[in-house]
Amino acid sequence: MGLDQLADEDLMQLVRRGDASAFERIYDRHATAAFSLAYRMTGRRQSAEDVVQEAFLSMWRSGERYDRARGSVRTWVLGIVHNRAIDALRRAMVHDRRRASDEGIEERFEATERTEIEVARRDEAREVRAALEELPAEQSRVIELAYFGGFSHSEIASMLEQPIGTVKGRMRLGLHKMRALLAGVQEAPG
Amino acid sequence: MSGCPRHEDAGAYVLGALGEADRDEYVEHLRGCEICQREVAELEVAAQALPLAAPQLEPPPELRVRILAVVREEAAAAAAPSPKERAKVPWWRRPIVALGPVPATVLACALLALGIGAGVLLTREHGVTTTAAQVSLPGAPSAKAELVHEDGDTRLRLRDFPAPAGDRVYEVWLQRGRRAPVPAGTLFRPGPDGRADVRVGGDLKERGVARVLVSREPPGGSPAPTSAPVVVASVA
Repeated sequence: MGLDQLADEDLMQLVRRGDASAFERIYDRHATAAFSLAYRMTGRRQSAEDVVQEAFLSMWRSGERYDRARGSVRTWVLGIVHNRAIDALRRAMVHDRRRASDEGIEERFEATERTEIEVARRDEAREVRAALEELPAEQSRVIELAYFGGFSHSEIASMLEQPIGTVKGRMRLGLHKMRALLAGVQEAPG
Repeated sequence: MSGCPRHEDAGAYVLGALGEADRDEYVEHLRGCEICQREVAELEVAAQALPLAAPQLEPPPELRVRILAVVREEAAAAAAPSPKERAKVPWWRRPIVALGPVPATVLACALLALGIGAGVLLTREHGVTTTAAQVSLPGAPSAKAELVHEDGDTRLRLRDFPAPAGDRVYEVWLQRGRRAPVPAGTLFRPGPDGRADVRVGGDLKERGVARVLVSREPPGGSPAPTSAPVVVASVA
């Protein structure tokens, strides 16, 4: 069986043994989601590239081990990208600069759909965006500020001039509602 | 869900929005609270889907080239080279004395000449740092190169540079310590006036880059340098 036919989890076994070709497949399968998340969080192309580079090299160098018991490879990859992006945001303190993002990047770099798996992933992404948009505005706001903005609950509370308890409650209720909306959405195969 | 005074923290926890102290305290609480464990498990399903809410964008191809060049190089370095394989070791890893007679002379002189004086600080004013780079182009004695760092951005400025032969291009490389150079993702040819002003990247020092190199490469660039550098610039 060729590498292209292997599941992510099996490729990761090879990556652990230093197989660069297996790592290349992992990169090709998840780089779009990783770059998209990094760009959504940092708002700058160069920062997003740095975050993705740091994240993938840390995966390759096994500083951060994949444990299949804790979820899919994609969840693991995106978790590392998310953590690195938060580090980058805090390091560069670009919270107030993110509004001035690279103009028109969406148009220039919009991901293309080349395979059935990519089509399935785009559909899945649309469903997740729709679910987030369906939440009451005050719930989606706190979730987006926390997850994509890297802000803590107390920072969000002071930003929105709301009690911390209200912010935490909105996060929890919003996530519960999202979970219910996503109940029928299955993760695209790796 | 109710029955635990801490269950409201579950949402902030799975979003990574609890402060450090609160998070540690909640992790400790989670160990002994089944109500919160269930709550966290349920909310994680939604939190793990959130990355997909970002508009999907194609990463630039040069990012792939950069990352995979490092990966391939490190994979190759991890495998112990046989004496035959040793001959294939790229020039930046090779001890100069181990090279064949002609390349040893040429490369030793080139690297020595390039190494000495590379990174002479020219100016540092108004937040702009300019560093002179060493240039090794025997047919172009007036060719000059500078590394300019300004406002978190680094550029390479070249003057009186000859166009590389045929359809070859100049490729920019980043080198960390003594490790193999990795592509910066920048290919260029100077203009008819011999000038080029190319972006190398953000804050190179912060990214651990010690030197910026330029070599002549085939069209489309290479994943690893195939010729000796014509420019060596130390990152100030």
